Amino acid sequence: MNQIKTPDHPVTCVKRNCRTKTLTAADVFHKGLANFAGAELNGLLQGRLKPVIVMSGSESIISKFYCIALSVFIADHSI
Amino acid sequence: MIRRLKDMFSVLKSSPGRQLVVAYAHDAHTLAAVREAVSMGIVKATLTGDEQSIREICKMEKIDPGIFDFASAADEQQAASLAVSLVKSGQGDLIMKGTVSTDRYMRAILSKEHGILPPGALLTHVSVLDPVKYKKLLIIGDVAIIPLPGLKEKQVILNALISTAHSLGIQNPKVAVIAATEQALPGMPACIDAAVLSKMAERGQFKNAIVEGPVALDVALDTESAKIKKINTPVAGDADCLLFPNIESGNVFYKCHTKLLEGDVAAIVCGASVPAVLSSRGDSIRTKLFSIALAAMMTL
Repeated sequence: MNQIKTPDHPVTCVKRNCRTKTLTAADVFHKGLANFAGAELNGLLQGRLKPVIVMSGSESIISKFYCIALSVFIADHSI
Repeated sequence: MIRRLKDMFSVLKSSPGRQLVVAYAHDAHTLAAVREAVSMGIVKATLTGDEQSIREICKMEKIDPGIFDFASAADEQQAASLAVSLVKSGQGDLIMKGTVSTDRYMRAILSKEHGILPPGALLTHVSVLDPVKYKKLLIIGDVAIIPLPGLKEKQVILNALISTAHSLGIQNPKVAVIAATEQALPGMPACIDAAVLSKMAERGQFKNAIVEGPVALDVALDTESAKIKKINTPVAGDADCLLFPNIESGNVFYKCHTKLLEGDVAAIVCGASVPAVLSSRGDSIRTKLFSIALAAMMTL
């Protein structure tokens, strides 16, 4: 696809950080991956002194576990 | 009822005879897809553009040009206008974009004098996804044309989703009006629009469909999520159609399906006097073929 559309940018096809334009688009992406593509996800709220876990009630146990793990990782590595 | 996109072919083969007009058919992918559709007996095809150039591409791609009719046009713009005028004069039942730019293609369709947009109509893009990990087809909109639909535009999109579902034999489609939460939160316009559409449906303003909103995507697609969230609606975990609140959210979902899951897709533009195929340069031959078939289904 990137060859067809020929974008000249290093992010093409190797993107690891996606910033979506609206909350709804981000929510659709997140829930699309979890409930449509079968992916396991994690996430946390940043900007406070310590990482805050805010999850949807419908997230899987494994996703909740990954959230805790990510929070611990971020807490350990934050300056 | 059509359960997988490929099921469309057998339905269409039993009712042949519709004419596809392709605007500026100057690329190998489009020609290969149209060749397949003609060979299967789904459509007959008229190609607009420079006949000699198209014949050369056919030769390179080992496609027999004898299976097509030609209508010569000097350039992209003329080819788009000619394709639209053929449809307008009754010589075409479906129209498809070749390598003409989307701008020119849409301008020809929308032309007040020569176009094929009925008065007061609005064009909207409908995609039908054949998901790998969901139990049935998903009909979604609008991922490509209307950037930020208001309530009025959402009614048009909703009607297009419902009529596409009916064309695929889904008699009473379940439509989830997507938002980020199931609560009708005043600060989130997507939630309020969804709640209004849901109420309109309850009062019978959308025929032969069950419309529910606001619904987050997990509830629309996953019964377990709905159970956990205690959302009790027939649409939960069983949606046939998804109405997205804006182009970004729809487009993100569409591209998750096509790029992350490599799922099959068909797409058309509804609202003109005939179904229009608006394929992207990046679309595969398979996607173009499914889109032609979907457009043909809409004419049955």
